Amino acid sequence: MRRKGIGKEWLVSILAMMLVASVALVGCAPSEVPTPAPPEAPTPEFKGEIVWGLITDFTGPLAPSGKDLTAGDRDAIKYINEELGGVAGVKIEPVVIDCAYDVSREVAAFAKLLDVHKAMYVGLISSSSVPALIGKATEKQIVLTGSPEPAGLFAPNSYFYTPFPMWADMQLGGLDWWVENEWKGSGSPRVGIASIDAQPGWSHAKRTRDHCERKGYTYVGEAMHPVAVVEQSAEVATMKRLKPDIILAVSHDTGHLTWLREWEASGTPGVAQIHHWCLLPESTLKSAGTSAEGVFSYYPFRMVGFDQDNTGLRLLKEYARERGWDLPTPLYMMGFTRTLMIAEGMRMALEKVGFENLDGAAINDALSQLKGYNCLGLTPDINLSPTEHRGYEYTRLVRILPGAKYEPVTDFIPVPPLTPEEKTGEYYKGK
Amino acid sequence: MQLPCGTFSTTYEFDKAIIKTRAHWIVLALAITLAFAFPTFSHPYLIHVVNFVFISIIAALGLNILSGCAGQISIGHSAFMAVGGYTSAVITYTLGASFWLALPCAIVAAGLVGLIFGLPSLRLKGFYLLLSTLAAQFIIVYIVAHLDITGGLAGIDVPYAQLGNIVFNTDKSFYYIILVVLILATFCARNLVRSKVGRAFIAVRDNDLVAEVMGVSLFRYKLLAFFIGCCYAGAAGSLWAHWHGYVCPEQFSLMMSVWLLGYIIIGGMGTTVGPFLGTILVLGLTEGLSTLVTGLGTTYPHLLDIIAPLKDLIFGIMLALFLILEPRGLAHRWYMMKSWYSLFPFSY
Repeated sequence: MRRKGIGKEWLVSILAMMLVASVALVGCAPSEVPTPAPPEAPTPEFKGEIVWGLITDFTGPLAPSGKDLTAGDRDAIKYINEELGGVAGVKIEPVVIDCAYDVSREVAAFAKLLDVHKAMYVGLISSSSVPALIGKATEKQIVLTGSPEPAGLFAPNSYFYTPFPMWADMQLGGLDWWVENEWKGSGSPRVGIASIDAQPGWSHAKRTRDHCERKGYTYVGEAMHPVAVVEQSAEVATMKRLKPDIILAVSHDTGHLTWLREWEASGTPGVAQIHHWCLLPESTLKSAGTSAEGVFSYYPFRMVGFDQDNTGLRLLKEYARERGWDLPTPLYMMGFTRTLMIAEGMRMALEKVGFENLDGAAINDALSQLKGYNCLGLTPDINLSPTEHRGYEYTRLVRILPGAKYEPVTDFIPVPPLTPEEKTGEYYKGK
Repeated sequence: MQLPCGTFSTTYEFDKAIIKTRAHWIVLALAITLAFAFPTFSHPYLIHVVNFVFISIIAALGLNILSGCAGQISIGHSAFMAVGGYTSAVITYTLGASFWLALPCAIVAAGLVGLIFGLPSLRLKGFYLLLSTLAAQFIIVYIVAHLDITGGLAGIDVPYAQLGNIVFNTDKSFYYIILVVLILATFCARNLVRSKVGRAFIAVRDNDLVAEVMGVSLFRYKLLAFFIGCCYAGAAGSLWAHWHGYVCPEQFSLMMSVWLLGYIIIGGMGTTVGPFLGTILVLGLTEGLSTLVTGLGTTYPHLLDIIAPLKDLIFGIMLALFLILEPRGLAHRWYMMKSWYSLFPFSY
């Protein structure tokens, strides 16, 4: 019997793979990009180069958020390199790794950024990677930013920073404002939580429960949905039964969307809602349609088109126009402002120790002394210290309008201060 | 086992031996020496990747015994890793005991939990059993996510392994622990398959009714397969926890279980070499594509959000092509190569 040739099928498969790869690469060639090339700017002379790692999600459940966040990071880096000539003359070279909301891949990406790319700072996206990486970051002296997680913010000798307050801080600031200005009922307002069955959701619920007790509000309970399951009819039914006057909702884009639609379909008008800022991308609002109208969210930055122009807003207008947006999304703003904040810390560190001696510990020292920096006028003053890694303690509330638009209903309002117990990582563990 | 051309089994001892010729011994000794020397000349990130691959191989070896040899398909294997990881974490973090005590406890605990979830296998087969093990995935992860002792959804910080004054807190140092466990796990798996128990597993897999008629106790061997397979998962979970220094429920996802099954299907079910080949191919491909996309993203930053999802597309196409062209797994290619070598230079 003639023996079948070993190489034939392999040859076919290799050729097929090469074909797919070629199509992919040709499809990605810059010549295909329809946007005209910008006029040649003079290339600045840089003293050197620093690698910044960005662990993000272009695939997986957080992909829409990841794209916006990384766009903000990249635009800020572009601004720093092209307009400012780098950080104190040093160019920032971003290396972006997509991890598809997978903790193991995020841990591997962190190791790769440090060992292969020699990154001096790493920006994260997902909440779950913060507790997984905070110990390693402190051990290796690498500054991190990301979702404002207590596991990172309140860890001993933490290298983790965010420009703005934690999600719960911002929602509770919004709640207090709503009770004072919008609530027309008698007695104490009834507050419910619709969130994710994950640690950020439960620590949020715990914080809200304690805040309600302090303020004399009635905490009616929570309806938590698994992160991977967006269908929420059971949670809607639970919340209807609890009869809240206001619902504080935290989820991802599809989670918010499902909640809003199912809540609208349940026929329970007159209940106020404050949603996490993931609600605000235009695509989410368009899909939510009328179910989102009148709902509150928060946007803890100055806003293009609503606030008086300043350097930052003029810059953002230009970037937003390039992307076809009216208003940069909050996640884009998160990326943009965190990059500016870290760059400012790095500038201080470079001035103090010089490029040759720059390391993570020097950046951390400088960042922990950052005072009065407002990200080109996009945020309130950021004031960091060795024990306070949240840049500022303000938020602002926006209301969703018909036509997938939103407008601010407040300027920056203070968020409730944290008790000493709430400034420990332990407080946020469990339920 | 096929022997090189001109080599014959002349004694029972020789026939039973796994390593038969001097050349085999030399290759094995060289491979082990190379494996132990690897961290001294390798890039730190490569050690990180290899650690991940080795831990995945240990888990896949266990799943291969359970699904490949005994035919009990499981899609909850990462949950059994979670049992091992959390047992080890609780013993070291909460009780303050040593990693060296925690590791065997984690192995036994995962095996015992595997026994419980193996009970339905006595009445269920095929896709029905698959669904029952899927329940294990959700139940176990739900339990560890909602118990106070396991740190709930926040997880637990796990102390690093320590031996005297040596702390295994780097990829390089922990590599040696993983390597030793992998060698032991492979040795046990290879020998198990050719023992009475291994033959009983294969009989149960091929036709359980015939096996029972021949006197193979289905009750005993199906549960034993679950116990052994889950012991491997427990070892992998414990190593995972102490390597990362942290465990949380999100680390042990359904996708991880699916991929473990994928490793042994791609590598070749029922063979000891299959989990090695499948895991190395899939994780190597993942790493290669990730590096390619990161590189392209640096060159074409404005197209990064289009390029990034392409890696999943290319990965899917490559796997589909592979399974179409080599449905018996990489192990089959390996055996063809060995067959060619055994007849060399007289391959007719």
